[in-house]
Amino acid sequence: MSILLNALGAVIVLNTIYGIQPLAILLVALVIITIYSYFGGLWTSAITGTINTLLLSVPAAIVLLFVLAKVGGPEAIFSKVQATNPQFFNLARGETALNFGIVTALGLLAVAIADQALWQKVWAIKPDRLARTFLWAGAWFYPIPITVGLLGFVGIALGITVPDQIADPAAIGPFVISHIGLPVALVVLFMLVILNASFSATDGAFAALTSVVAVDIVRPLWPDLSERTLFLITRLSIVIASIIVGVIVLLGLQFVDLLLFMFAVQIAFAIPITLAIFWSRFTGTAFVLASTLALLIGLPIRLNAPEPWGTLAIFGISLVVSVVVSLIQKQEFDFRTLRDRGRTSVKSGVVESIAKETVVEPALQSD
Amino acid sequence: MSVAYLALGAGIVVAIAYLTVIYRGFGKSKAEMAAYGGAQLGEVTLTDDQVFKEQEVGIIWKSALGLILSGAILWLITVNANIWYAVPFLGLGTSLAVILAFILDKDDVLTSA
Repeated sequence: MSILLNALGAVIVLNTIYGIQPLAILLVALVIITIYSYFGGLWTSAITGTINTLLLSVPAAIVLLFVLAKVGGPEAIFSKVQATNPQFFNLARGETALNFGIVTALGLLAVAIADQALWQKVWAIKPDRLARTFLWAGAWFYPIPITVGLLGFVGIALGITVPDQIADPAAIGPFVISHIGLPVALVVLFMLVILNASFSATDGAFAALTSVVAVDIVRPLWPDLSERTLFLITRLSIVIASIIVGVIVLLGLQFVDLLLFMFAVQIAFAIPITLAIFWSRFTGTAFVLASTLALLIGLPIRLNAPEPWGTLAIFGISLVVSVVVSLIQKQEFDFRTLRDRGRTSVKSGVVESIAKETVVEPALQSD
Repeated sequence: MSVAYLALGAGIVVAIAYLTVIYRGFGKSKAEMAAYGGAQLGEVTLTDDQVFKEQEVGIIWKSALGLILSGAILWLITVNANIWYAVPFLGLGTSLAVILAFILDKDDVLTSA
């Protein structure tokens, strides 16, 4: 889902700024990411992710300040937005919460819990720095979306409308940047910001995908498979995912619709994953039933009922089924077995980690 | 426009410092991985629950403080246009925070081993 969302983002930006056809954008973008993900793995993902932070924060700040200067300063934009609709500055606006806020809040929580790319980062970080790293990273990421989000207010002040001037509301930023007469260098800088964010998130998701394919699918089915064959299969999964993503993006979906759909799907998994971590009575059957029923029953509700009811239905089904099935089964999981597994490795004198059981290490060594 | 040029100058300095520290940081990480067969420096302590329990201390109030501060910034944006100038500079602070993190990461596994 993350790959899909970021590919669509790249298409929207390049199509809005340069008018390039989506198929051409997808072919170039996915081929580039697929090639360097194929050869790189987690190590490449870590490097691009770190450079991405620089490219997101510094250029975004510079571009926004030049945009504000070009359109008469923030005071002028502030007044125009307020004149257009004072509700745009109302943080407690119920309509926004119902249509977007509740779903997004639940969705972002679900992403943090269910996204394999984030869990992969957990394994990659030194254990004694986990809390510090995530707290500071969360806090310092905060200014970036707000900086880029202020472009939306500029768009409203300039009277940009959907679908007259832009086909997708997500195109408002690129449209503003490329239509107010900024120097070409700044337009290119902004494009780099967005494309880099898109590429970085996609290669992280590809690294996560290979890990899931290796650990959860291929290894259980064919435990005696050689490392080389396993490596090739995981890389093939990247190519297949790229093709599927390309086909779906070409369907012409709206970015926000896709984002909310992604959140809905991840919410179905968030409760079972959380309970699997924190509740010893949670069972495997409950996990499968909860996530499957949440999607099978909840998604049709979401398609037919206005938000947030569909998403809340998915959340509710997932929660109720998880708890009820686990209570009925009356089983208890001993978390200490996981700890003992780790201790055995260390006692044997071999510094191992769960990450080593995945394709992470071969990927790292391939560099 | 002067604020934008100020940010441009600051951004160039930050970018150079950033690229320098991450180049050194990744070089160090790669050397660590080569020395320890791909595993991490902190992996031995992973099996000790204490390493996680220590990190739980104060995490609630720190997260809550982050939530309150982020809410306050959002609210300020909606009441005062001048705050809009501060947000991009906070963005520059994001890169400064990464630079600081790399500098503070003093663990030198290769010399301590």
